[in-house]
Amino acid sequence: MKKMWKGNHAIAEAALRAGCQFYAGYPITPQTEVSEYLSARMPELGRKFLQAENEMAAVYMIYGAYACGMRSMTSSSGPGFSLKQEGIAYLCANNYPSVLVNVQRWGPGLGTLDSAQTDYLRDTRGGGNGDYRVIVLAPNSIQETVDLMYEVFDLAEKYRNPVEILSEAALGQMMEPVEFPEFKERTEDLGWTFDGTNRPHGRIANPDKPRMVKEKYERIAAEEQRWESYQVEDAEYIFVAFGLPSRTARNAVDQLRAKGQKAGLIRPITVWPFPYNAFKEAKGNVKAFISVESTDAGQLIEDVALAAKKEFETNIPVYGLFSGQKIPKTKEITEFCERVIAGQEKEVF
Amino acid sequence: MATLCLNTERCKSCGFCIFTCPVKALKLSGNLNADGYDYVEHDDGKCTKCGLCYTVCPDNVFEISE
Amino acid sequence: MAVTKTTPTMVSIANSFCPGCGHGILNRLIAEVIQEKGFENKTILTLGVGCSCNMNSSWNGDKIQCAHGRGASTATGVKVARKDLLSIAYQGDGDAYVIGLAETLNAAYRNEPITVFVVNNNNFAMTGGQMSWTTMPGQVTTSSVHGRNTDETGLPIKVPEIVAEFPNVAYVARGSVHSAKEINRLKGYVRDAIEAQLSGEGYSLVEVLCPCPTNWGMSVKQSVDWIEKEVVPYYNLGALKERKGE
Repeated sequence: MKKMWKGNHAIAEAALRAGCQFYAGYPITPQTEVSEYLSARMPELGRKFLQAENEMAAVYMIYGAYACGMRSMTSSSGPGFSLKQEGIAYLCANNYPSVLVNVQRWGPGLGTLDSAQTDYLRDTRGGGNGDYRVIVLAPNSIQETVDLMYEVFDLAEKYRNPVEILSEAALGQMMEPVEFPEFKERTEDLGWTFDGTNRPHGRIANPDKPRMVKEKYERIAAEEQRWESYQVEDAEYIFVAFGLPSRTARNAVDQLRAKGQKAGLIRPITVWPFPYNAFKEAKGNVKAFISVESTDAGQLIEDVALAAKKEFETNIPVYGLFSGQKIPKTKEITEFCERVIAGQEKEVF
Repeated sequence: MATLCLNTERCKSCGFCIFTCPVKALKLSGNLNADGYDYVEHDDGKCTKCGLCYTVCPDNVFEISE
Repeated sequence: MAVTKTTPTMVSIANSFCPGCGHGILNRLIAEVIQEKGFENKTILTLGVGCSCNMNSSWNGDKIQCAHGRGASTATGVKVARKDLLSIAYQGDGDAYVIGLAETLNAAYRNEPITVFVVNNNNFAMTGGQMSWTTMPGQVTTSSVHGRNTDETGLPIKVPEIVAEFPNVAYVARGSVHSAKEINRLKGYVRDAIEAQLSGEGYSLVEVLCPCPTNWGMSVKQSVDWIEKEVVPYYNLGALKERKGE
């Protein structure tokens, strides 16, 4: 039976159901409740909670622990997540799994506590040094957050890569009906982990496999794209939105359709790998893509433009509705689309 | 009768053993190992197998066996 | 008088430290104690960034390379995952006491059950000999070319002394490799530090004064003499916090 849960508490409980044994984190709004919940719940289950002295220490603690095979997670927001970037690059460099949660708040810098999506480019491109990618999943409901969290440890271990849940302030703070899956654990030896015996760890710095980086990310991109499409097949005006803006964008599709416009929505669930395959479903006379995102200067729109170029032979314009530090209202989205249709908006790409 | 063995391939000519040896049994040999270092050699007659060279050597050049 | 001396297995691979570097001696002492305890296959070293990185190719045991300064955090995570294993953080003074000062102190503050070895050679050595917080007053380095000005940069930091003040850390000591006598004493500190972890007493730290002939611009003999005359009077040797029951 579903019960009302606060998003941050649900993320935390879901991680435990998924077999998380160790959490290291630090207080930062709007995700502090993740830490607080785990500080109470983990000792009950005989697992380890550690409030670290800073965000870097937290990511390096889980780096050490998951190198030894223990399912470990850290979470943060805003500038806190910025501090973890070096650690995330190290995790990728060494092919260690990890689970990261970013409950985004508007940035840059100290930012505000408003719900926003202003970490999109950083989290999908990687804010640390070097060539690497993090698998990034963006839920748009608390139940979806729980469902994705239940899979991410397995996913991280499958590819030996960090996996991030990209959430946002409102999703962390609000309450929705949720049900949780049963507890599961991974007890088998992963085979490569550090156990004191100095067995082969499959380090990436392997001169025999200089292309391992590219090969791994190509494989993930081929196999792990996830998305949800809504009324895309015959759509002429397609919104692309993830997270909470996708919910109002979906409402906008319904309202526009009721007025006779062929609107549709592609909702990326993985934002890396970006679901280019979703765009293959658009078989109608696509006249525009509209990126709907809680950013100021446009971030998701760059991937929409790449998808438009990659999947279509004609040059389809890409417009952007950047709602800044708030979730765009349905009315804003429908009106924007109508202005696009009327030729009153300038495309970005 | 104890024996001092030197793995001269590991010697980096640092000299720590030379000035530590209480009986001055060690000196640079004048020969180069594969890494190009003038490796150390010992005068077995003077050497008492006290092990101080082993203690100070950063490169595990010395071993002493019965 | 003869003693039997064999190369411990964990240092059986030739290292690439500079001639006369202190790291090699500390490596051997740690290897000797681990071998005494039978923990060759039950130890994970977390290597800091600096000359410690050389051990990626020479340390014949399990080792994780962590980020610059974050050895204490990584070794903490290792111990959380595997409390049955010996978790050692092996770092330099620049790594543990400058960029990693927060993480080093905080792991001690929480009495994390790890053992931390810090090679103190009074400079950031791997990057060519810049000033670190343990550089001596007036010491010339590539980033203190007129000699360290302690009015502006602080006096050389004494982290073991700070850590020894935390009420519940298990063991803190400072040793040196500048002479055979001190190396032998240091081995006792290394053993105490490792035993403090293995018997569940808690956090242990051993700082080791080491020569860096390359960056100090001295011969090996001059370097060890310099440690004895200039460094030891400031950075006192001995146990700063004894194990309980000792």
